[in-house]
Amino acid sequence: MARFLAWRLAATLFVLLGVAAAVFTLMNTLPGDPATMLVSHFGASAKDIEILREQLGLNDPFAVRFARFLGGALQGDLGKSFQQNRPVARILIENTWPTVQLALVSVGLATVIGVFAGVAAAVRRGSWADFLTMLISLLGISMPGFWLGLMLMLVFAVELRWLPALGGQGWSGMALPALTLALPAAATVARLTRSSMLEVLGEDYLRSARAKGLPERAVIYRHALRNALISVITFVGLQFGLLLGGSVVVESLFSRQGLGQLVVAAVFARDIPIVQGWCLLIAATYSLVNLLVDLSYALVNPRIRYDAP
Amino acid sequence: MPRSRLRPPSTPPASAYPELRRFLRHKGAVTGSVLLLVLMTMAALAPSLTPYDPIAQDQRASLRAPGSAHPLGTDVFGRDILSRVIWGGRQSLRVGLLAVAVGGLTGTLLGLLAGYYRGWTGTLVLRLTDLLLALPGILLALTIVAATGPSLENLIVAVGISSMPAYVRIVNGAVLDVTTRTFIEASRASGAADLRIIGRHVAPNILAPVIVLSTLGLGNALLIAATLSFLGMGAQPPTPEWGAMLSQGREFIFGYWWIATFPGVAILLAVIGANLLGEGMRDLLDPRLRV
Repeated sequence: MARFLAWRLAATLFVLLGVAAAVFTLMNTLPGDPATMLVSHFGASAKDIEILREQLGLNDPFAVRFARFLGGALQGDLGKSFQQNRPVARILIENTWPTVQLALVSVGLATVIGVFAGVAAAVRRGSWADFLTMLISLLGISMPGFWLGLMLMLVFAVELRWLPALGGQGWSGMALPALTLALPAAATVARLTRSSMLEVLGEDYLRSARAKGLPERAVIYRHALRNALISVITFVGLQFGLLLGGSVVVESLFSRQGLGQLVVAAVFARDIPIVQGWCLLIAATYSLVNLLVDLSYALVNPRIRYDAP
Repeated sequence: MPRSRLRPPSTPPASAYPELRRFLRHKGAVTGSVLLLVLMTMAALAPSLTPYDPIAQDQRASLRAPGSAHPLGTDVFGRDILSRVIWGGRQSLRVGLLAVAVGGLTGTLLGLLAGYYRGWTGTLVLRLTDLLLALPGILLALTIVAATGPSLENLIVAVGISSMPAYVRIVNGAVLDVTTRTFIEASRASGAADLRIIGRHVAPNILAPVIVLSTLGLGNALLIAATLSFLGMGAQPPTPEWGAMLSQGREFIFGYWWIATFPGVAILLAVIGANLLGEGMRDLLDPRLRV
């Protein structure tokens, strides 16, 4: 187990190094001069732009810039934002908590809604409730997240006026963005829970559990669901990555502070250090979540043991 | 036991296309392909179907609610939303289909390369794929558009690349599986060249998963493309495109619900079509495949 963990962590580090190299190359070899973009609104002269290029270190050779970026990144220094002239690491940290909060609430909502709907559908296989659940979840996985957000805004903010449409604070501000992210994820979780429950429901040990007189609820939730959960966990883990992705559009849609809104603004401003730092942060988080997902298998199913390859 | 099973197996009428018959009996696959075909036909016939120009502005007709002259209403520039939704299909569906083509072709080729030649070629391809997998698909596409600049062409490439890793992995696995079989060994022993082995023996065996992946991937490509366009990283105004149309809907959400509603319905229908067709293809061709 320890060897497996060490091996996976090392592999993750290598992937992150690769991501750093790839992103840096992509961002720094393509046309479009960030210095020009930064000051073009102010009617800066060619000489001003040249001075700015020198200040931002854009005139150094590619290899020098890359070494500087990588050396800094290894020490937690991701450079300075072109626009805000502050350390990228600090800006990212300031924006991380709102996004993580949103993602956690959404994952929680999605899991609860999805697992219950999936179990309910599987237990009543073939009934109209099953059909309806599956129909709704087909809609859920086929819907663009931002459009769902717009529709929720129309219903709950414009028509009913229960919740703020944009920039709300606290729980009422969280509700619509979290639902927007959670519902499509819940749809996937529900489909997955249903199909893995259906596989488990025919097993002999469930007949035994019923035969020894357990109430149906205990049979379903303690014996069946627990075994059906393993594929669901994978998905909830993968959903976390998708939610980080979804946060980009949802935060922009609801004007909510966070990593997603930050990076969209940075993309349009060609604030390369922010985009790079954000990429590394997301890649690191995503890889670690995937590792945690793998480890959690062993918790749910003790028969699974990890050995180093 | 149902009665039909008790009857002697009725000899099916000799059909030249048994696959087609199986396909036509799969409700989901048929519904999905009809949906997609209708949307594509509408997009193709857009010039003769739409009464209004999708781009020309008409300030007198600005922000009209749905009514007899404009069944789906008009936007702030007085453009007919129905006409723009139909024209928008040209861009949105084209981007989705081309992105699937880009991702599917490159991914399949790389997967073949990695699976067939293994060694350092295979390792290199698979490790590069790991890099792409380090970011969730939509964020990878976003990063690529961020680097290359917003345009529909860049969007196609970005969405294509972000869908590539799935093909590389599945094809690589399938090729590894096939090439260890004895008939490949026999073919090689009888002097067949690599290209012939790949064409005759390997390709037919990876066709099913690739078809399934690409139909299932179409829905995802449509969603990612619409999302990035909504953020302003795809179609640029005044080009009608479903995702881009919705960003105006957000500005006018108070009081003008139709702008934010109908382009999204179009996306929803297209993605449902792709998902139903994709799941149908999976049931018919490769039931074990889970994507």
